[in-house]
Amino acid sequence: MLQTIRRFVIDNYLFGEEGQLGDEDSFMETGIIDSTGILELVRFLETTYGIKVTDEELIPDNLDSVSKIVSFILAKQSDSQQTPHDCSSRLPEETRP
Amino acid sequence: MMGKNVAHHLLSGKDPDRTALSFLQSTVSYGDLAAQAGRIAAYLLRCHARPGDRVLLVGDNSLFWVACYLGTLQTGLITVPIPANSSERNLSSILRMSGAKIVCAQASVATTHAGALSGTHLITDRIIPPIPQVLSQLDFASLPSPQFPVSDYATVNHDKLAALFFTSGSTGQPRGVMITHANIIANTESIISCLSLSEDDRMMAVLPFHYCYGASLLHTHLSVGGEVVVDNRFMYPETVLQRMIDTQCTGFAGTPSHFQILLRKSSFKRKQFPSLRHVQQAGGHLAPIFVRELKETLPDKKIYIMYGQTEATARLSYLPPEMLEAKLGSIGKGMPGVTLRVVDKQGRDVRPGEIGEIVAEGPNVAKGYWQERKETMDVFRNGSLYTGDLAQVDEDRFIYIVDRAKDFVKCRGEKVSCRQIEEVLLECSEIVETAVVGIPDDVLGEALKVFAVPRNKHVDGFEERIASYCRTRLPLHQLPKQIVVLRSLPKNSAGKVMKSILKRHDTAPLLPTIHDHI
Repeated sequence: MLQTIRRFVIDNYLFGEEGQLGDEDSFMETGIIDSTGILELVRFLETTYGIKVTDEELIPDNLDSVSKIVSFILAKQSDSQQTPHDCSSRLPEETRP
Repeated sequence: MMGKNVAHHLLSGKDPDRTALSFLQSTVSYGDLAAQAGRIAAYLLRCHARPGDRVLLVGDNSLFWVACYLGTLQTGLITVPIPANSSERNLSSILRMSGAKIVCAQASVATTHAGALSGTHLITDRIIPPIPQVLSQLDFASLPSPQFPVSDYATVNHDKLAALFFTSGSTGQPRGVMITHANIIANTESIISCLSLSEDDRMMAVLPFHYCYGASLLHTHLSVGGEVVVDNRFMYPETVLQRMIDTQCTGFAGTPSHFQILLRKSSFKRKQFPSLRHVQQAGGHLAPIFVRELKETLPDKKIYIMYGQTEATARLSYLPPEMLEAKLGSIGKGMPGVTLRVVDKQGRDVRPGEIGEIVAEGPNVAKGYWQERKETMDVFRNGSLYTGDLAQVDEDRFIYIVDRAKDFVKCRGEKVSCRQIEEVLLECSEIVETAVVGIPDDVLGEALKVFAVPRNKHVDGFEERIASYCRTRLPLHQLPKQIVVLRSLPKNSAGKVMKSILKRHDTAPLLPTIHDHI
């Protein structure tokens, strides 16, 4: 999982330059991902790992480095295994007209 | 005419104990800010800079950035702010174009772009290893204590340059817009007047200060003795929204992209902002559907739709909040001190329903483009700014932008506005953002190509559904010939969609489509 996420970030935001990204590096401090970039990343995580990231979960504690993302996904997956009605059922109604 | 320089205008006469800037870990009073700017001013003079020399400034919003900006203006030098994410090539090119020999740089940028800095005097926000071939190198903390009393500002001719703001280059090569001290002071006063800003205002600044819209937040709030809350974390909108509540911000300013993200990808609609008094939207066209959603979300707050250009320092028009619904889609009228007209090719005011070009006059209109004589003569004529934006007026002379002059496509002999197609597409619930460009076509002359970002991950059949949606909503000559699904649109640091990149999509398909990862 760590390698997959790392690869996605390197390929999409660092033009494939592997050496520039440590697993603990903050995306915000290094400036490698912007506000639309993080939405791309979230969409990738949702698709690849079958999770749903709520608006409220879109915070640095969950997503601001490769390591944090791995911990976040593992916690989400573990939650959804424990409760059959996983977190996606707690999502607010879509508000788009 | 001699007069105050911008730094003097913004810093003098303020209560030194009052908070000017609020960062995540600290606050800075007006007294502190003046002292820090003074340290930079003293440093610049020690570098033997002379009035009129350019000083390049590169970095994210920070105390260092603001101190360098104001310190440069204080000494009568010309600041050249550029985005923190500028490539080394771009930084080199702007150094060359501007002739700047002094660089104020965020340490991370100086480290990664060291090769571009040879032959300059370099000051960084924190200490970094020596960079080869620089003329001198210092860090902010090592500067001596303030040597410049706050009252000691260079008196400047009002016509003297304060800044070169390089335009975003969304349509071509970057050009340095020459902004004078008088331009900034005039535009600042106009904005303060139409937003009724006071020392009680506290602005959440997520816009970068190197961008004229972001800089205007700094100018206006410092000018009235208010406070600017700096937050560079808009990539995590929840953190910004919570900070707005915690710090009791009275204002928020964003581009269309900021509001689209807040309205579609955050808890903005579910949160309460008791201290918020107003929001400002500028930096591009926010589709009416989003304006309506914004109003529904903030029914009791003032929403200012504004229009501007770097060539006019920052802003040119505003729509009074009470007219938002009656004049939905309008950019309003000229701000105080600005004359805004829509004229035909003969220079006559258009009648309601006719399309013409927006032309601006006022003390905020820039002097021209740096070392670009021909471009300057094309755009700045007889003291007027020809904006290149095409618009209509209604019976009350409220202005409605139709499109950029260059953002039309001629399909089957008919002129089609890319923006109008984009507005129709955004009403489709599956699309988060979209951009339309023209592509050469043997039969049609030009054809429409749509780039669309889907709202969710279920993209199977997305193109077909969009094509089908278009057939129900658009006339035949406006139907897109190609639909490309992207994970996001390419944007510059100010959040503007880079159509120049999209137009090169066929020859340089650097943009990963959504299918690349699904």
